[in-house]
Parts: sequence; structure tokens; C-alpha cells
Amino acid sequence: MPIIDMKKVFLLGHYQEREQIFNLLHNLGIVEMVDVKSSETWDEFQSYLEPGQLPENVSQIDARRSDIRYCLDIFQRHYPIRKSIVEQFTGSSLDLTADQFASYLDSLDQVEEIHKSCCEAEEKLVSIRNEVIQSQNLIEDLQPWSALEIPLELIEDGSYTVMGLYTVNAEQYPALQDTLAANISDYFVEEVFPDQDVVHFFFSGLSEDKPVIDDLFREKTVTRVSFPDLTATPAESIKSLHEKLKILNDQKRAILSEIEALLEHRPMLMACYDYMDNEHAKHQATSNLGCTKSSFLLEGWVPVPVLGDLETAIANRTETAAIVSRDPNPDEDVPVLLHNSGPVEPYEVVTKLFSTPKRNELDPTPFMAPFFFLFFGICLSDAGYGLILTLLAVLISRKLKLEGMGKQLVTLLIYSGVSAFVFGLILGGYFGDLINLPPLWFDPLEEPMVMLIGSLGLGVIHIYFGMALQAYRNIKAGKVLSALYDQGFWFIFLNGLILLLVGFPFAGQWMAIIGAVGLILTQGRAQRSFVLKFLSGLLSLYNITQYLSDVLSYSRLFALGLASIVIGMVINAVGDLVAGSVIGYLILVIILLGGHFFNVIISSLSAYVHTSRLQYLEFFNKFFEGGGRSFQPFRAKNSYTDIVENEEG
Amino acid sequence: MPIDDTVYAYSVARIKAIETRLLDQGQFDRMINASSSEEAFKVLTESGYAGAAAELTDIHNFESILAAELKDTFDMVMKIGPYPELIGMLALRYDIHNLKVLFKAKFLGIKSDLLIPVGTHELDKLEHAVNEGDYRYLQEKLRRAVGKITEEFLLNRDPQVIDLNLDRILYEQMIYAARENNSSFLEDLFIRQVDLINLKTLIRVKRMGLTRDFLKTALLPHGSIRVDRLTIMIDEPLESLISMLAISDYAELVSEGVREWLDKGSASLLEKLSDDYITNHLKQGRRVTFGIEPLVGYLWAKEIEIKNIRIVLVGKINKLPAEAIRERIRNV
Amino acid sequence: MEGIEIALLGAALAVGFAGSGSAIGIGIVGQSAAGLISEDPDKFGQTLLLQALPGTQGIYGLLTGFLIMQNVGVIGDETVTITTSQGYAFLMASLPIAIAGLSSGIYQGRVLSSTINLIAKRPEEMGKGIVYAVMVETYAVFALLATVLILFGIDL
Repeated sequence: MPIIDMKKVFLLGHYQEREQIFNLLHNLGIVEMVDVKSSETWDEFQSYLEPGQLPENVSQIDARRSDIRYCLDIFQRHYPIRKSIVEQFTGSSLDLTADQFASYLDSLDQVEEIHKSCCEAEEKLVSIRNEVIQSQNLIEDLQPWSALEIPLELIEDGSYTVMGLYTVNAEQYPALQDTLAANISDYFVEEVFPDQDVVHFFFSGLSEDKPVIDDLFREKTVTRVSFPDLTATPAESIKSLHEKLKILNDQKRAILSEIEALLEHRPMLMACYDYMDNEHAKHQATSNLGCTKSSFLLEGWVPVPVLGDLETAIANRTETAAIVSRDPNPDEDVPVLLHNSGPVEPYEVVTKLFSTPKRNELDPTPFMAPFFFLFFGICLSDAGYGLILTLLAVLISRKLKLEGMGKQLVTLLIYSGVSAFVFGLILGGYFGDLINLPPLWFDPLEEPMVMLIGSLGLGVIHIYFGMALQAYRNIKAGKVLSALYDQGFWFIFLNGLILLLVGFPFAGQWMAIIGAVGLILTQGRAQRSFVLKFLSGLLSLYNITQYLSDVLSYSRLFALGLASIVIGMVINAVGDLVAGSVIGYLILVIILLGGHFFNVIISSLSAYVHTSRLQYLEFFNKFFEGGGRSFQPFRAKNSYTDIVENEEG
Repeated sequence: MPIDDTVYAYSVARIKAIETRLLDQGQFDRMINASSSEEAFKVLTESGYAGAAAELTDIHNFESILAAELKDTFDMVMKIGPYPELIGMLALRYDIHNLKVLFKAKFLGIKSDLLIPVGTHELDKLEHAVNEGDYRYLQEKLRRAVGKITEEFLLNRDPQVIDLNLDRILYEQMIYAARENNSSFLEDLFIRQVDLINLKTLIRVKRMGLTRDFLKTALLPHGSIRVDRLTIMIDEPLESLISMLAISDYAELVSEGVREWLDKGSASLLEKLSDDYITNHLKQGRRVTFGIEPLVGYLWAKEIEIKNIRIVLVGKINKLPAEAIRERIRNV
Repeated sequence: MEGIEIALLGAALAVGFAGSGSAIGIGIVGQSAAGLISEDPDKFGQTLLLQALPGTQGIYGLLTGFLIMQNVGVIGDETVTITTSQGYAFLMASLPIAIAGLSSGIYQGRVLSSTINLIAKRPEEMGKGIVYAVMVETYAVFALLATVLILFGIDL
């Protein structure tokens, strides 16, 4: 059975043994916990049970975990671990043996110290950054005044004179000069830096004129500029600020190297983080329990094949726990675990990308797999490309330690390459037309119509198969008539039309009529009044367009198959144009290698997505709904590390 | 809106990536459940606030970090988006806020709030303008409104003219600019905000027992609920307001928030519901791929996040019970 | 114009328009991808894959152009005389992929921009986003099909 049956288990234990039991379940990784409060048990036993309280140390663990995370984030910010392009798809983690992992955990008490050093380093970096920004701003402010050769501390009001640095809007400057000349007798003005918009100037005058000067300046919105902490001339100040920046930069580098020195603890921190994170999850899971004063009740789902393992483990390794199980009720939200074996298994990835099946549904994977294999091969249809694809996929699966969907996808590509290889032999594609071998069956370039009709024919089979599966579902659900009405009549009707098309007018005509009449009589059966029954029956014939467009959709097999061959031919033809001289042959080799590699990638991508689409839209919509929830057991989840059996390569 | 809407492709994708770093409900829960304000603040150090948080020596100064964060957010969105002037329109709210603070300081001698360095005018320009009475550097429309405030205040010494005039010019400006740029999305948003402000004004005036004429001057134009329909409500019982708005979007907000305000005298639920209302409204727009909607939605989400952080930290500093804090924080 | 020139106009249209569709589509996705990558560089691989998708229209256009050039003898050794009506037939053959390639490339790019926004938050949903984009590409495939069938149907 592709969909594994589940049982609901109830585990009753003594609260004192809770931690051991949780550790056991966590290691087994076969139970999906259910929140007792949201199940029907709760309704029944509410008066006896309390919701599980989070243990007190959960906030400690949380704090510990976030300290470690803080350190790792700082490392990542300054000394990032970059992912390679393959790892961006598969994820990356640090491989550790169980012994290494355990030995890292021994250094858990160092975390506090490392965290402290990290915090200090970060604090210093921030204050350096602030100083750098301040200094840079000051340099920018000073820049216009650099021509001024007076030490800045000397520019201040004295007992007889006032002086200062000012800026004013450039438009106002001539007018300011005029009013100054008209209103006061003795003063000195020197333009230090005429900007386009703002004039920077030095001004000094007599103290007795100060009120007049202030008024004039306010009227023209003259702004006074001061540098209170600086003593040298602007140019000198800029120079010393630049020196300061250099020192700050050195300090920054020193702190960064302090952080770098801490990097040796990174693997340890990663291991500790994963440990803490799992501890946290274990503690957090307590909130799913229902508790009395000294016992707890845990509810969860377990796949039937491993239920025995769970029962023996509980019996042998705990003292107080008792476990019972029952079959799911019809209305319960049961998680779904797919299990396909053998060559079909990798095709689960295609199903999962669409949707997890519902619990009572057929798992479409085994039915879809042969068609996927076939269609992919037709879309790529080149022996050379198939070979390369399979080799690439084998290489990837050897090099990388993949799991779950990644592994399934790569295995699927290995099979798909084989399929393309076979169709390449049948249709005579070897890197386009690079190697001229006769096809085993026919050349699609010579006989395109054969290939087109073949593609559509495969489509008809595919669609009929989907309808048959739905009929099977109906019959299994006891709705034999529905199977006859909804699939049977359509089957007769469609076959009649096909027969008409290929030249059997008599049989075709009668089958079409029987099918159509059957449909008209039955498709409106949900309606109440007779007229409505008839009308919706009649209207249902309109669905023929749906079937027509579904079948035509399979013409993409032909188009894509042709495309991959012809693109290969284009590459060869372009190569042909340059061949001739020694350099020409060199370029030829580059074009052929690059071009065909490009085509393998892009055509395989096309083949994959279009084949998927045919499954999702044309095939699945005949019998498959999806929308199930996949099984997510309570088990160890690591973000940074991976426990491996042995140290290898 | 521009004809080629794909100019938003870059900024929207970037915002989507940035959005994932907004604090989620779980993080707020952890903050609320933390044992002290320092512990609560620690949650922030794990998120986007890590750099700024290292500077903080005293928890009571957290406002400066929030202000800096808000400014960085606006600067960033303006930098990556294709039409900074449209985002600038949203920042105008902070110019108005700052002007209010400055005018109140000048005329009434009170320090009502912190200045927020987010608006389109630099803070020292605004300070200079208000303190020196020199409005040259202000936008033309603002200049006129500000001049009017000075005039009216000197005439009858009524502090209300500050808030009223500034709010009026703010929403006039924003709605005008939204129309100018053919952004029905922004116009719609501003109209909703005007409605919410008007509802609050109505209740406030009603509770203070002021006249219908006063309410008329206090309500903002351009809302979707007409001013004259709202003014009638001042003498009516709450039920008629509820029934008037029963089929509008504001039904729930009025029946829950306004009732609480009238019964218990606390506007905080209405404030929360108003913010949640806008949040929900903007969430619909955040799915758009080519448009300003996600940028505006992100800015709003960030403003709400900062508001929530403030509520939590203030609550923690004042040792409020967790439930009281939880009641006030906005949905995220 | 002689037959051969009309046929070559067809080749040019197929390559040019379908290629433009791909270029615009890839350009739109590229902008989105750049936005995402500036915040999350580790998604480079995924975005690269998405950005490659609207490239197929251009390839189909090139393929059509190549088939026409080969048929009229511009490429290859055999010389062929093309009548005016044959020339028009080649021009007609090029139109489906030229037109559908242009529009489907652009719209596929727009769909993929949305997909990039999707994977910013939920990278595991990339497969679904690709399926949506393939819905658009279907029509380029059909156009190619029509183009190829017309080409094979021309008597020389």
C-alpha cells in the first residue's frame, strides 16, 4: 500500500519519567504528537486533566540557545560560510560523528564565555563604527574651510572684536555685502570657499556693532559654523582626523581578528545550538500533554508498520508508561505518509511537489511513474543527451549525500536519462545529428505526423487511464452507477468520436450517440426538476472541449522532442560553419561542448517541467484531489550539523 | 502609476526578502513573557536590531534605537524603490509630527513628544523654521499652513489650531499627491486613514461635550464618510453611529472600540483596532508583484512593529502584567 | 521581393520577436532576482534556474529561423529556388512562434517575478511557482508546433 495506515496512540506515564519518555520518542522519531487539548479526549476527560505546563527551565534553555545563535550570527556576519551553488538547493551542514558531537557538548559551559567575548567585540565594533562616521562627517564639514590658515580655537569673540565662520545662500551673498557696507564702518570679510549654492566666509567686526551685525545676519539667514573641539587649522585637523580613521581601522581589524580567533569554537557552537534547539523542542512539546498531578497523557499518530517497535521500546525501556492504540475515526485529521518501493519511489517527489494525497485517496505515484518515465524520454529523445544526464545525476548522487526529496529528484533524473537514451535510439537522435545512425523506428524530422499522432495517442491512453482510476475509486466507494455515468458514458462517447475520426462511421456513430444520450440522461441527476436535469445533462456535453484540449496538450511531447533534436542540429551546423582550419576545429570543439551541454540542461529542464505539467493538469485532475497533511514525527532536527556514521573522505 | 510597472520588480523582491525578518508573533510572545525589560530587549538583539542594540547602555533609552530603525527603514525603501517621492509622501507624516512638537514647545512651552528624524525636511531646518519664524525652506503648501497656524494662534491662543491645521494639510497633501500620481491604492489608503481619524475626533469631541460647530471645523475633509453625516452624530446615541456604519468596513471597529471608549473611557482598544484595520487592508496589497503596494505595506508593518516594541518595553519597564501588554499590542 | 527574401524575413521575425520576448521576460525576472539576492545571496542557484525559464521562447525562435534557413538553402550545401508563394508560406510559418514567443516570454517573466517573491519567504514552494510559469510557456510550445507543422507542410 503506497499510503501507510496510521494508528492513534495514547501514552500514559508518570510525570517523573516524562523526560526519559520524551527522549525515547525523540530518538525513535516515529510519533507525531497531537495537542490533547484539541482532541476529543479533552472533551471527555477535561475535568480530570490540566493542560501541560512548560517546564520552568524552558526559558533558560531558550536564553542559552539564543546566546549561541547570537555568536553564530556574528561569525556569519564577519566570516560568512558561503554555500556552493549545489548546496543552495540541497542545504549544507557540518558532518560530525556521534563521538565528535558528544565531545563538543562537553564544552557547553564555555558558551557563556564565548558569548561574552562576542558581545564585547560587537560592542567595540559598533562604537568604532560610530566614531568612524563622526570623523567622516567632520572631515566633510571641514573640507570647505581647508584654505583657512587660522587655528580654529582662535576664532572666537574677544572683548573688542567679534569673529567667526559663516555660511550663507549664494544668492544672498552680494546683498549681504552691500548691507554690511551700508550699515557698519569697520569689518573684515573673506570668502573662504565659494560653493555654487552656499558661500563659506570668515567675518570679523567690532564688538560694539554686534547687535547690528546679528540683526543683519538673521535677516539674510546667515548660519554660524563652529568646531568647538578642534584646535588646529582646518587642514591640519583634516589630516589628524584621517590619521584617527586609520587608527580606528586598525582597531577594527584587531577586533575582527579577535573574532577570528573565536572561530575555532564555531563547530562546537553549531553542535551545541542543535543540541539546545532539540532540547527546547522537547520541552516545548510538553504543552501538547494533558496532565494530572503526577501523570501525563500523550496523544499521537504512529504508522502501523512501526507501531510494534514503539510498543516494545515503551515496554522495555520505561517503567511506568502504558500505551494503547486504536484505528483513526472517520472524521479525524490523519497525517499521511507515502511509502512506495523500488523504482517507483523517486517519483514521489513529483506527487509531493503537487500535493500530499488525502488519507482515503489513492496515491497517484505508482500510476503516474511509468508515464513520467515515458514522457520525459520523448521530450528529450536524444541518446547522447540521455547518457550525459544519467552520468551527471549519478555523479551528483555520488558526490553529495542527499536525503529526502533531493535524493528522489536525482534518482528520478537518472531514470529519465535512461528513458531519453532509449528514445534517442528509437528516433535516431545522437547529439542532434552529430552521429549519423539510422533510427530504430522512424525519424521525426522525416515523418513528423507519425510522431504527432503518436503523442496524441499516448495522451488519450493517459487520460483514459486517469478516468479508469476514478471509476475504480467510485466502485470501491460503492458508487458503481457513478462510475458508469461519469466515466463509462464518457468512455463510450469519446471512443465513438475517435472511431468516426479514423474512419469507422457506423460503429463510431452509434457509440457516440449511445454515449451522448447516456450523458444527457445522467449528468443532470443532481438537479431536482426534470427540465433542469435535461438541460444540465445537455450542457455537460460541452465538456468535450475539455477533453479535446487535454488531448491536444500532449502535442508538446512532439514539439519538445523535436526542439531538443533541432537545437542540437543548430549547434552542429554553427560548428560546421567555422570548421576548416586548425583554429576553426578548436572553436568547433568549444562550440560543440558548450552548446550541447547547454542544450542538455535547458532541454532537460523543459522536459521535466512539461512532463510534470501533463501529470498535474491532464492526468491528476481526472481522479486526484490532494490536500492531505504530511506526517511530521517528533524527532531530532538539526540546523547546522549532521550526524554521520563514520568519518569518511 | 507608471506605464511600465516592472520597474518595481527589484524593490518588491528585495522587500519580500527583508519582510521575512520582521518580528513574528512568537518573538513578541517571548518578549512579553520575558522576566525583565532587559530580557525582553534581548529578543531584539537576535533580530535586525542586533547592531543598534549593542549601543544601548540603558534600557530606558530604547527610543533612540527605535527612531534610528525607523529612519533606516524609510531611507532603505526610498533608495531601492523607483519613485522615492511617493515614499516621501508617507514620510510627510513625520514632518507634521515634528512640526506639532516644535510648535507646542514654542507656543505652549511643553515638550510633548520626541522629534523623529524621518520626515522629508531635516530636523534642524524645521527647528530653525519654527523657532525663527523663517519658513523659507519648507515646502510651499506647508509654508502656507504653518503661517496660518502662527496667525491664528496669536489671534485666539487656542492650542487646537496646531493639530487641526497640520493634520488637515497633511491629508490634503497626501491625497493630492496620490491623485497626481494616479495611485488609487495610496488614495484609498489615505481616505481610510482620514475616516479613522474623523471617527476618533467625533468621539473625542462628543466626550468633551463640545458643540456641533466645533466638530465641523475639526473634521478632516476627503474622507469616505461625509463630514455632515458625521456632525449629525454628535447629538445621537452611539447606536445610531453603529447602525450608520453597519454596512461599512468600520462596523466592527466602531461597535467594539468606540463602545469601550465610551464605557470605560479608554481609547486604547479603538487605537489598536484602527491600526489592525489598516494592517489587514494593506496585507491584501502585499501580494502584488509589480507595484508600490508591498513597499507601503512593509513600511506600515515596520511602523507597527516599532509601535509594538515600544508597548512591550514600556510595559516591561513599568512591570505591567503580561496580559495587559498582550491586549495592547497590534496584530502583526 | 523574391521568394527567398520573403522566406528570410520570416526567419528574421521568428528569431527577432521570440528572442525579444525572452529578453524582456528574463530581464524582468533578473530584476526581481537581483532584489532577492541583495538580501539573501544563498538563493542564487534557485533564482538562476527561474531566470533561465523564459529563455525557451528565444530558443524556439532560433530553431524556427534555422529550419527556414536550411530549407531555403542559406545554410547547407544544396541550392534551392524558392518561388514567391513558397516564400510567403515560410513567412506565414514563422508568425506563430514570432507572435506567441514575444508575448509568452514577457508574461512568463512576470509570473516568475512573482515566483521569486514567493521563494523569498518559502523556498520549498519553488516547484509550484515553476508549474505556473510553465502554464504560460505552453502557448509558446503550441505556437512552435504550428510553426513546425506549417514548415513541414511546404512543398519544395
